[in-house]
Amino acid sequence: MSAVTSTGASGPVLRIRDLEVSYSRRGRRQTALHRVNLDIRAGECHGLVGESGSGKSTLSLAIMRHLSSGGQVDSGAVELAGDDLLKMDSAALRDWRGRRVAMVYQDPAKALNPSMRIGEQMGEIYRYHFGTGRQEALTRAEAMLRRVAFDNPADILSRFPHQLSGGQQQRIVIAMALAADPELLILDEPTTGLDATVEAEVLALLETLRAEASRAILFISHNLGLIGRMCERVTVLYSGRVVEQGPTGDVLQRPKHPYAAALLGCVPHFGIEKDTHPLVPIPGSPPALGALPVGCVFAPRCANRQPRCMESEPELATVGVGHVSRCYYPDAVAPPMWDQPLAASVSEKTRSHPIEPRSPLLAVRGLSKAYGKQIACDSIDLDIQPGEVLGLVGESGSGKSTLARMIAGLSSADSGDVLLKGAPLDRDVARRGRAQLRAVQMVFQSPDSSLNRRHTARFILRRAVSALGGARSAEQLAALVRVPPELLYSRAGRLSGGQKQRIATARAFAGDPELVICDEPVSSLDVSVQAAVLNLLVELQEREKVSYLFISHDLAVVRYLADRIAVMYLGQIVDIGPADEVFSAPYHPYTAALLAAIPKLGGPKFRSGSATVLPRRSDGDRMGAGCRFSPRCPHSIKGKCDLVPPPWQALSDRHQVRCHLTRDELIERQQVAFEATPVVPMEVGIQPM
Amino acid sequence: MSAEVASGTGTVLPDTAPQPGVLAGLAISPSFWVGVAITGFWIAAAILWPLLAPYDPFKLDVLSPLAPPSLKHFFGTDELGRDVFSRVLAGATPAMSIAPVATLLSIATGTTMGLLAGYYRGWTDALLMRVFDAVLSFPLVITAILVLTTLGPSRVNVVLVIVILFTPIVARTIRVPVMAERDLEYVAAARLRGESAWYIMFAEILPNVTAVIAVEAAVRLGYATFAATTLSFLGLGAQRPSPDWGLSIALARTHIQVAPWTALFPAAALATFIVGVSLAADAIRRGIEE
Amino acid sequence: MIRVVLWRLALVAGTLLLVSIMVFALSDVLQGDPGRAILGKFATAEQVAQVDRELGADRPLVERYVDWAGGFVRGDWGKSYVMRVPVFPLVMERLGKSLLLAILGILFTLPISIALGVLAATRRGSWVDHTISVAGLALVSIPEFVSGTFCLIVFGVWLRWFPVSALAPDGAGFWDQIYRLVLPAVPVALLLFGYIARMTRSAMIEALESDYVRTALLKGLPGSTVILRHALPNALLPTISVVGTQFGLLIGGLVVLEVLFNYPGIGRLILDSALAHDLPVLGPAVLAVSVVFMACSLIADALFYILNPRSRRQAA
Repeated sequence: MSAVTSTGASGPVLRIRDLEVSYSRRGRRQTALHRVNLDIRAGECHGLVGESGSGKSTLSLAIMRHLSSGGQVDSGAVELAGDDLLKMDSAALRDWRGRRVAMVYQDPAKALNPSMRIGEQMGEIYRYHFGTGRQEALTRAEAMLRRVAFDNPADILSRFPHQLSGGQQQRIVIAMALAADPELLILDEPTTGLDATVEAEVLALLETLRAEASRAILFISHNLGLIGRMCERVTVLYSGRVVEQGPTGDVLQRPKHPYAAALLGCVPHFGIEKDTHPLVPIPGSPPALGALPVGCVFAPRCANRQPRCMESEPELATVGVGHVSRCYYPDAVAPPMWDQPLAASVSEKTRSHPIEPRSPLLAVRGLSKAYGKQIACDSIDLDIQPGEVLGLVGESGSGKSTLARMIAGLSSADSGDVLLKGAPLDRDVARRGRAQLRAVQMVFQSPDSSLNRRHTARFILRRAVSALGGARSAEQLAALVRVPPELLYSRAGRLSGGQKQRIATARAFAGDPELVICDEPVSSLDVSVQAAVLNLLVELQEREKVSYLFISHDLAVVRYLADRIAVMYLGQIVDIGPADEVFSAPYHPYTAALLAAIPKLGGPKFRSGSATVLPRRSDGDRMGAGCRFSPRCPHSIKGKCDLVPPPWQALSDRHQVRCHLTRDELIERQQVAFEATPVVPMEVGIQPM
Repeated sequence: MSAEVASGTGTVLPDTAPQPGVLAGLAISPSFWVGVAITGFWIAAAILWPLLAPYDPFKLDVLSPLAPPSLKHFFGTDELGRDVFSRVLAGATPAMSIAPVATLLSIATGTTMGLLAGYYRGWTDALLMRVFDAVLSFPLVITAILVLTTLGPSRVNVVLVIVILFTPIVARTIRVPVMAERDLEYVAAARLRGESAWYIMFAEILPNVTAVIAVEAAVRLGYATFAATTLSFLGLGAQRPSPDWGLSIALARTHIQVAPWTALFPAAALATFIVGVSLAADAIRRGIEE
Repeated sequence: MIRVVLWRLALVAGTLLLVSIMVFALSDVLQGDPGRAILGKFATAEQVAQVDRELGADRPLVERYVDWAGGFVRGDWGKSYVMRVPVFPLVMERLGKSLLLAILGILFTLPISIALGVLAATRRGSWVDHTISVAGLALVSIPEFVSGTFCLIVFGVWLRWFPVSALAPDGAGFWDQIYRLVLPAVPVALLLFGYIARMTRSAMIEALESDYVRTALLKGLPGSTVILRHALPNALLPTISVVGTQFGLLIGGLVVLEVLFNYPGIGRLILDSALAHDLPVLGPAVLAVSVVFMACSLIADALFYILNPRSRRQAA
C-alpha cells in the first residue's frame, strides 16, 4: 500500500484514500468501488483503464461528488491539495467543481448546451468563478479558444454547438475545462466515438496542453494504446478494485497482475495476424456488480489460479518501484506476447495461401448510391475471391456500410451490378430467390439489436434454417458457435453480448452461405468478449470455406483478420491490396493518415505520437472533379490533385492505389513524414477494446 | 483510432416487455391500487346495480320531482321524480359498455395502420399521415358531431365515431416505435432470409411494441369514456330515458339552479370513474416506461 | 430554409384540401335534398326540383365542390337556411367569441402549469411531484363538462360569485363579458393544466438528465442558474408546440362548455347547425375551425423554429 505514496518532492495534488462507493439497487447496497487508493502529482498524467463495469466512471464522478442517484461514498477520502471533498459545504463544492477540478467527457455533442452560444457557455466560468463582467468573460474566452488552436475564436464564440464539427466541439469542451486553470483535469474517454483523424487532432491538442502546464490529469480510457501514449502512471481497475498500479511502461511491458496481462493479450495489437498470433480471450465474464467474492476477484477467470486465490483476497503488494499488484503470484504473470519472438517458421507455414485471382465469388461493378445530394457510394468496383477475407476500412461517412447493405440487397443501389459467381443478384433482397438469399448472409454490429429480443435463440435459429433451407438443426448451429444448448431456450434479450453475437453468427451460417458480410461485428463488445468472437469468426471462415467482407473502423482488427484490405474515403475505394502491403510503405496518403492516427506503443520506449494532424474535413469541401482526399492531403499538388480525378496506380502487382503520385514519389515523401520508420509488424499499437 | 461504439455490452434498447419488476412496481404503487379500487367499484355497480339500487332507476314519481337529497333518496330525485342514486348506479352500465369495445377496435385498427406506416414508410406513410392529419386537424368533438348527425345517434355509431377518431391517434403513437424497430438489425436479418413484410410486421416487430400498445390501450380507455359521455352530454349518444351520466348532466342543466344535485352526483360518478381508470393506466405506463 | 417553409405550407394546403373534400362529402350526404329540407314535407316534387335548380343542387358533385370551395376562398359563404342571415359575419362573430374564451383559459393556465411542471421536475420523486402529477393526470382525464358542472354548482349556484350564463346581455361592456367568462374559462384552464404541466415536467426531466446540464453543474454553477439558464430554455421548446396545438384545438373544441354555459361560440354554432341540417353554415364553420387550427400549429412551428437555435443553418 505504501508504494502508492508519491516519491516526488511535492505532495500529490489529488489524494484518494480507501474510497468505498456503493449504489443502492432494489434496496440492497452494491459496492462499486472497493478501497481505492490513487495519488496524482502536479504535472502527472495518470491513466485509468478497465472494461465496462470496472468502476472507472464511478471513480471520476465520485471525484466530482456527482454520483448518480442511489450512489454514495461510504468511506474514505478524496483530497485536493489537502482539502477533503467529502467534507465540503455547497459553496466550497461549487468552487471545487469547475475551478479546481474540471472534466472533459466522452460525447462532446451532448456535453454542450444546444441552445446557448459557445461564448455564453464559456463565459459563465469566468463570470461565476471570477466575477468578471460579461464583456471581459468573452474576451478571456476568446483568449482561451486561441490556446486550443482555434484561429477564428471570435467567430466560434458566436456559434451554437451544432454549427461545429465533432473535433471542434471537443476542443471547446477542453477549453471550457481549462478556462479556470484547474488543479486537476479529468479526461473521461475524451476521444472515444471520434473518427480516427479527428481523434488525432484532439490528442495532439491534449499533448500540447500537457506540455505547457503542470497540472494533474486523470486520463480515463479503455484504450491501452492511448494510455501508453499519454500517461506516466496507470491504474488498472477490475470489478471496482485497483488490481495493478504503476509506471505506464512497467505495467504495459511487464504486467504483474494476470488481468492486466490478459487485457494486453486479448486485444489485436496492430500488426498481428490471425495465422501467427491467435488472440487469447479471457474466459468467463466479470463478476456482477455487488457480487461478494471470497477470494481474488479475478480468480474465476485466471489461468494461473491457485487454491489460495480462492480463499482470501490478496492485498496490493509492491512489485517494483512505485508499482503495486493485487496478486499472490505477480512473478508468474506471463509478459504480453509482443515480447515473445515471432515464430517465423509458424508464420511461413500457415500464412494463408495468397489467393490467386481466379473467377471471383462476388463481383461488384460500378455500384453507386446517393441520398439526395449526398453521395454514399460512387461507382464501386470490387472482387471477392472464394475463401477470401476482404477487409473494408474507412471513417464514418465513407460509405462502407452502404456498400455492404447494397451487396446484401437491404438498400437498393442507384446503378451498378452485384454478381455472384457471374450471375447478377437482384438489387432488392425481397426479389432474390432462396439460393441467392442463402449465399449472402450478414453478421451485424449491435448484439442487442441483431436478434429479436422477444424470440428464443432456438426459434431464431430454426426460423433461419427453415427459411433458408439449411440442413443443420438449431442445436448443431449452437454447437458450431459453442453456445451451450440449454441457452437456446432463453429469450435473446436475456443473453449476454457475446452470446448474442455468437447466435447472430450461427444464424448467418444457417443456410451454408458463401459470402458472409460482417459489419463491425465486434466493435460494441468488451475486449475479452471481442477476442473470443474474433477467434470464432476466423475458425468458422476456415472450416466452412466461406468468404468474408469484413467491415471495421478498427485497423488492427482488420489487419488481424483480412487477407486483402480495401480503404474507402467519401464513397470511393482509394486503396486496395494484400493486407500487409496496404499497411506498409509506400502507402496511399489517406491510409497513411489513418495509420498515423493510431496511438503507437511498442518496443521498450514509448514513442510520442508523431501523428500528422490532417486538416479537418469540412462540409464545405466540395466534391470536385479531382481527388476527394486532396483538400486534406499533405502531398496534394495544386492544379492537378484538386482538378483531375486520380488514376489507379499499381504499387505492386496486387496493390493498387488511387493517387496522382507515383510509387517513387510516394516513397520519397512518406520517408520524410514518417521519419523513415515504416510500420512493421513488431511495432505494436494497441487498439480500442 | 476511432470507435463508433464504445466498449461495453450495456443494453442499448430496454426490453419493453413487462418484466417481473413492473409488476413488483405496480404492487407498491398506491395510485395504482386507488385506481383499481375505484374502477372495480364502478364495474361492480355496472353489473350489480339491479341488486344495489334502492329504486327502479326508470320508475317515475310525479309526486316528488326534484326532491333534495334525504334519507329516502340519498341523492334526491330528478325532474321526473326518479331516484338519482339508483340512476347513478345504473349509469355505470352504458359507461362501461361503449368505451371498452371502442378501445379494443381502435387499438386493432390503429396498430395495423401504425405498423403499415412505420414499416413501409415512403408513400404509404405519407399518405396515411396526411389522412390522419386531416382527421385530427379539427377538434375531435366537431368530427364526432359531423359524423353522428350524418349517421344518426346510436350506440353503434358512437363506437364507430370513437374508432374513427382514435385510430389515427393510436396509429401515430405506434408508428414511432415501429420505425425505430424497423431500423434494428433483426429486421434486416429477417429480410435477408426472405421473410414477407407481413411476417416481419406481425411476428418480428409487433412483439417488441406490445408494451407501447398496452399503455396506449389503457390511456385510450379513459379517453373513450371521456368521448362517449361527452357525446351523450351533447345529445348525440345515449338517448332518454337512459341513466347515462353525460345525458343526465345535460338534462339537469336546465334546472341546475333549483336542483344542483341532479347534475352534481352524475358528474361526481363520472369524474371518479375516469380518474380511477386514468390512475391505473398511468401507473401501468410508468411501470413499463421506468 | 425557404424549402422547409414551402414544404410546410404545401402540407397545410394538402391537408386543407383533404379536409374540405371530407366536409363537402359529409355535408352532401347530410344534406339529402336541400329543396326538400327548405320547403318541408308537404311541398310537391316540382316545387322541390325548382328550388334545387335555383340552388344549383342538381349539378354534378365535382362541379358543386369546386363552386363551393371557390366560394369559401372568396368569402362568399351564402346565407343560413335557418337563421336567414349571411354566414360569413355570423361565423366570424362566433369565432371571435370562442377565441376570447380560449385565450382567457390559456392565460389562466399557462404560467401556473409551467411553474408547477418545472417544480415537479426539480423535485422528482418527492410528494410535491406526486401531488402535481396526480392532479395533472386527474384534471386531464375529467371531461370539461364535468369540471364545468362542478364550477357551475359551487361558484354559480351555491356561492353565487359568477352568473350561470356566460353571455353578457347586449350593450354590456368588455369587462363585464370577461367577468362572465371567468367561470367557463376555469374548466379550460384545468384541462390544459394537465397537458402543459405534465409535458413541461417530462421535458424538464429530460433536460435535467442531459449531459449538458451535468456539464453546467460540474462547471460549478449554482443550482438555480443551471435550472433557469441551461435546462428551462431547452425544456420549453417542446412545450411551445404542445401549447400551440392545444390552443388550436380549443377553437371549436369548447362546444361542450359553450353549451353548458350558454355561450354562443363557434362550437355551439356547428352543433346547432348540424342538428338543424343548416348546411350553408355548417361547412364554412367547420372549415374555418380547421383553418384556425392550422394557423395555430403553423405559428407554433414558426415560434419553435425561431427559438430553436438548432434549426439555424450550419455555418459553412
